[in-house]
Amino acid sequence: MSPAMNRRRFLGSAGVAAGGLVVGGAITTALDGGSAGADGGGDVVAFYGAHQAGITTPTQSRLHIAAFDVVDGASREDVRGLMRQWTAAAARMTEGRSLGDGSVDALAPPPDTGEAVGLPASNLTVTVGFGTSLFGHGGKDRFGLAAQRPAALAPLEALPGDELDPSRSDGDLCVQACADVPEVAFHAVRNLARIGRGVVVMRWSQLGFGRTAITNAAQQTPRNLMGFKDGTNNITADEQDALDRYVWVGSEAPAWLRGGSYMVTRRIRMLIEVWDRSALGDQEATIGRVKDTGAPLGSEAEHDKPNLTAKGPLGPIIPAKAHIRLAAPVTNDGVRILRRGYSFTDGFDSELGQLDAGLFFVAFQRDAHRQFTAIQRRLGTDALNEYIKHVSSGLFAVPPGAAREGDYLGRALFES
Amino acid sequence: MLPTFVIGLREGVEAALIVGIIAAFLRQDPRGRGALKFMWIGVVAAIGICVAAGVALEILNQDLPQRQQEGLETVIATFAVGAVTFMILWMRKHARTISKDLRASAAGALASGTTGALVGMAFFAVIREGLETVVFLLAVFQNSDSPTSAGIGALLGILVAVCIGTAIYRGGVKLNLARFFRITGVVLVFVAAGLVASALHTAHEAGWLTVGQQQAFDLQWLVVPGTWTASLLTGMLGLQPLPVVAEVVGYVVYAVPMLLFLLLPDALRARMRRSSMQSATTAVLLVLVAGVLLAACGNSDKTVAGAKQVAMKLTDAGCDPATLKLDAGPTTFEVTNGGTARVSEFELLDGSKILGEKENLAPGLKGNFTLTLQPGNYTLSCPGGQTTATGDLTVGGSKVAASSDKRLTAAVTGYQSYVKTQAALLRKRVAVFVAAVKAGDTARAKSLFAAARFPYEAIEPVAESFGNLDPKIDARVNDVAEGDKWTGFHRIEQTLWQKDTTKGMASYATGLVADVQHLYTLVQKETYQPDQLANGATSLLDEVSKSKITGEEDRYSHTDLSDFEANVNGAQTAFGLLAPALRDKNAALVSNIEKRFAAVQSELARIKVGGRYPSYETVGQAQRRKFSQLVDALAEPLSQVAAKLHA
Repeated sequence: MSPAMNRRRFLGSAGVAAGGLVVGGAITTALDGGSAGADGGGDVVAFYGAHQAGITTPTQSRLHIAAFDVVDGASREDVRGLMRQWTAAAARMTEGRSLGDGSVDALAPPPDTGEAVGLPASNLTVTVGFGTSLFGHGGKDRFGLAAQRPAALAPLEALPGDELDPSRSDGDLCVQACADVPEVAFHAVRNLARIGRGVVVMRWSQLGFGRTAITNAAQQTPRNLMGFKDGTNNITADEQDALDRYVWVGSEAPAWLRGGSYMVTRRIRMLIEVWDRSALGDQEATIGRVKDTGAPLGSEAEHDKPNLTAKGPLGPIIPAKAHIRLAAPVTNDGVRILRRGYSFTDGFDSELGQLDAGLFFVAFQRDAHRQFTAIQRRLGTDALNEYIKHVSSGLFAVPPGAAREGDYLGRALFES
Repeated sequence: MLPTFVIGLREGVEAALIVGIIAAFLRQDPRGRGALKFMWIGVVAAIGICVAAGVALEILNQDLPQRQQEGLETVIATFAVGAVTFMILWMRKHARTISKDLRASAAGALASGTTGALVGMAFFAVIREGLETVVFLLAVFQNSDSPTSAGIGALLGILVAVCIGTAIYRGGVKLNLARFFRITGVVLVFVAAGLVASALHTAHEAGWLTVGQQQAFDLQWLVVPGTWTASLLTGMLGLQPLPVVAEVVGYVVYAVPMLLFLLLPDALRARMRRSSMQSATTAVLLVLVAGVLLAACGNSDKTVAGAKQVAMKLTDAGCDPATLKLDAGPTTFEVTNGGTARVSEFELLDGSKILGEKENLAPGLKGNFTLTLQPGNYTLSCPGGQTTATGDLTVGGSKVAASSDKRLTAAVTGYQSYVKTQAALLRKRVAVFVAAVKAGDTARAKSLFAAARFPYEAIEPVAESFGNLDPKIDARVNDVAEGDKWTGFHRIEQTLWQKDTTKGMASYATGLVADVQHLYTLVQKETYQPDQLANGATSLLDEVSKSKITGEEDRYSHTDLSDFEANVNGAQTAFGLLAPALRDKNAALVSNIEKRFAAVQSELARIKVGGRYPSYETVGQAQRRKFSQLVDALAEPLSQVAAKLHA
């Protein structure tokens, strides 16, 4: 079969032939065209639009995120060319199509690496961000972009619980690929890395295997690796006011970033072995929720508003250092962020002989310094800190979406 | 050492003899005594000129690219053979009368009152003998493993010659000059025959001689590199461990008549002289026969890599098969005589034009030819066949464009000669490395290891195309197939570095020399397709990614960076040859690849300290990652080249 064959079309025909034996839901959508909504079975998220996909669009179940550095000697024009190529390729892959023009040449490596052929589009979203170092690094303004650097893209300050490894932090560019099928997310990052070879090199990369937050009210709140429901109070796509207020960058930023956002990434390693041997009561007191139902301590249901003032015989029912108390907007002057994190594991920490796993925290906000940093500073006394450490950190300015075919991500920046 | 000693001695004696006689004359004459000083000045000046000429020639040689170097070495060796032959023959005739003749002409010169003529005679005698010596020595030097001992030999020879000259001059010694020149003459015949063989060898490397390159016999049991017997046999008799047919024929054709001429008694020679016309004719015939034989050998068994093989049998009926359908492209016809005496020839015709043929195939013989078939209808012809003397060939598919591009043809030819040059260099360096191993000089062997491998790594994909040759030469311990013995570079590397000895390595060293010789022989006839150059370049970079950057290749010596550079050089050469043809089709791709080659090379150069690479053990994680990413960045566009050539 041709590597460029539309994956959806393939699946449709295969589905008919196989009598619907393969991934039932996806086949149905492929046949009837489908509508968006991750859990509802639609499988193509629109790539073009005012905002980039992968922020407020429904959280998929898989993540592959990677940061890249532009190589020495590459020019502004090289980076701009790369953004053009990446945008076109991302749009194509989002639709579930393979890369290349469909011609087959036995003498050349195939333009598409091929592992996603036959898979549905899987709600793939590709979100690109620009790191602080792209706008000047070590006193050198490599691409003449220093004047365009927004104030809010200043590096994050050192925060409590930081044990950061610089080699897996930051980066000139960041690509977040999310999809409902792991091969599809991997395929996107792999092919973008391949296209970028010679202009960018990969700096770090992370696979995530389970969403820990939802951005759509219809979605079930997932559990993180600690076994707790997480992200219950996240900003969802239907909260237009909250999005404008807390997520989308407005007139305070340079024109090229308006309608964009700031992405913070934190690799938060969980000390799984320690957590697993702590008593249920301690676990619930640490988080501030009932493990089974997800309800705040002292409340009945998951979505009940946490009662932070309720007292019990031994003090507040939700303890002073409980995670949901310190992270709650009311504790943080009403500040909210849009979380889009994933559980991760890199298997085994051979140095310590323990599982290497945790939360790959991803959050979008209008100003990371006022939002993420403020909350995280408050979390310095979080009881949860006994069980976690932050080992990597990244801050990226996420430009607005590409408007239509032919437009490309960051055009307003590179043509400014 | 011995050959240079003999050369120095003999030429020295000739010159000393002349100078001595002239000096004796000048001393006798009162007018001449004043001229004595000028004679010595003339002699010293002549020696100076000769030395300068020698140095100049050698510098010129060093500055030339490899192929021209081989060419110049051929010229020098041919010149030397000519000079020495003339000298031997002339001396054979004049040895007994040389002193008398000289004295007579010196006396004549003196009698006519011109001491200047005598001074000039001394000057020219020295300069003639000196230049002869220089050219001859240079030729021998270029074939010597140890220039130092060769130099010492020459100096000793000249020294002894001067002593003899002085002794004769003082009248204390009476030398049987006839016998002296005859004995040294015999030695020189062997040396010169060795030079004939090596001239044929360098002529081949220069690309001038292409026939007779099959291995004639295996003398490795006799000539074991690094032993004194080998020095004697290669030095004196010019014997090589693995001579090829052309070299053997050249050696014999020169040495046998010369020795006969020198050693046969005078009476016999007198008779021979009468029949010299006959013998000359015989010699010419012999050479012609040898040439024809060589040409015949040279044309047989030539298979072309990448070509499709088609079997064609000659039978009493004619061509079998008599109808063929093939796709366009490079095709090799393997023609076999299936036992018919009626048909001995196969031709492929386009109308009346012969596209390719194989003749003179007696029953049981086979041969082949290769051509690039274009779509169309052709005739198969097996003249003499009873029923199928002619047959049909239909070629389908699309027109093969590659061969029509002259620049691609040039690229392929260029690569062919690059591979041959590297194989020759490999053979040379491996011989030196192996000599150190066999001599038990561990430190020297270690210092030569990386350089000896370098040419191999530059042409590795070609070596790998010969089946089990690459495993024999370059297998790492974990690559060895079950039941096979681990041999080659890395086997020796392990012992050198892990055990710090050469003990037990002699047989591996011998094996390495033989395998490298085998490779050398194979690449002489190997031809390539443009795609192979492109894919070979990419696969060289894959080698870098897979085993050099990981430090797995030279895991004992940690000389991986040298292999790394060799791989990149090989890839860059192949790409550089394709670039002119590719530029028309995709200039951006060419300049992109060139830029990325430069980035890899400059990163390699940056890490070099004093012209040497550091041990790969000391190369940190960040540097390894940088290398890896630079190579990936280069290999990605390079992998597009093969397809773009056809676009």
